[in-house]
Amino acid sequence: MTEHDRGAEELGTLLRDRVRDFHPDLAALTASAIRAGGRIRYRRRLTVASTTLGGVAAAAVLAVQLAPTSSPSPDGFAAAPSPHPSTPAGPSRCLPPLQAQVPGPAQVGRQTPSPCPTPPAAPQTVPVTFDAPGWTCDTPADDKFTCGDGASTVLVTVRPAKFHSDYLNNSDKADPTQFVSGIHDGSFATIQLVGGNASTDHLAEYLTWN
Amino acid sequence: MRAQLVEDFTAFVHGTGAQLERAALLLTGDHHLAEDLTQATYAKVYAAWRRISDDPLAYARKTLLHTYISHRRLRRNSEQPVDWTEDRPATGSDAELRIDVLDALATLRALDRAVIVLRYWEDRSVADTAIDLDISEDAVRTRARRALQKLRPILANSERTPS
Repeated sequence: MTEHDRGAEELGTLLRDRVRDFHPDLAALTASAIRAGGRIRYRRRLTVASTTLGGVAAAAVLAVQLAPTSSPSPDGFAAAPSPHPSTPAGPSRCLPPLQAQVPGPAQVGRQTPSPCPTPPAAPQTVPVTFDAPGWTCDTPADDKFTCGDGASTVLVTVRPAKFHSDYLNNSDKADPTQFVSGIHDGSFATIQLVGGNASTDHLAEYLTWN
Repeated sequence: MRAQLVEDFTAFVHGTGAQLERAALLLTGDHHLAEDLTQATYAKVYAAWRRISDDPLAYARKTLLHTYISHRRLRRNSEQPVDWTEDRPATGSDAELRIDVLDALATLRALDRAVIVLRYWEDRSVADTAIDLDISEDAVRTRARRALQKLRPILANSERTPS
């Protein structure tokens, strides 16, 4: 037996002796855990419900905003111009590339605005950082990045809030080993286990929203 | 359905509570912190019960360890571990020499202490300890060896302690 083994055996004995007489109140522990766990579950359900409602409200607002410009007037007349246009008129007016290439019915015969200049490419950033001790992460690309600690690898993905309920409830996307965050400023993050045995729920504690 | 859940969970806590709270005591070194840590762990277990019911003990053990380590990580800037090997005199009366093993564990970093508790109190293998702590097996061996080296003088003192 090596000195290391003797030390380990002796330490094990000391540790067992030290806690042998420690007997927790299991009934109280159970009751308090059920109360606190119930609150956690309630908050999760609340988050899902508010997310769903928020998504519906956002979709309704979007539909109202798009309606006057994307559909012709039902009586055949062009829609009246808005007294408070959302985009400024004048030579600087431009359209996103898709709209500029495919004019809608209301745009035929009118002067087609020029497409917007393409913005310069900027380094990709995501609104979350993952800073678990012993873990390193790749540079974000397409709203996702991978992190690993040599034993496990996870994929962190930032997604639009409208898909949040799918990732919680839809059997195609809800993965029991996958962590799904709450919504922060219109986005949420998922942590998916790619390799190894790491617990994504625990790793989620190291996810920080910027 | 909820009654069944509560019944299963209660049985689980009664079967594992003593083990987990003792581990929490060895990790935190304080009875009240151990109770808080164990309660927080079981609350998370209860909240996730339906999806972890195939192996709730593994989930509970991991939750306990990670909750402890993340809690220590938040506090590490404001607290420094006590180095008993330097601060405590090597000579003196028996009462002075008597060093509680919890105090000895307090000289270790959080992750090293977790390795010690898993390896030498729970008798977990190197591989299982690595999985529990999400670190490599080499890291487990290195941390265990380093922690034992640090604890050795303290253990030597406790050997001279009258029981």
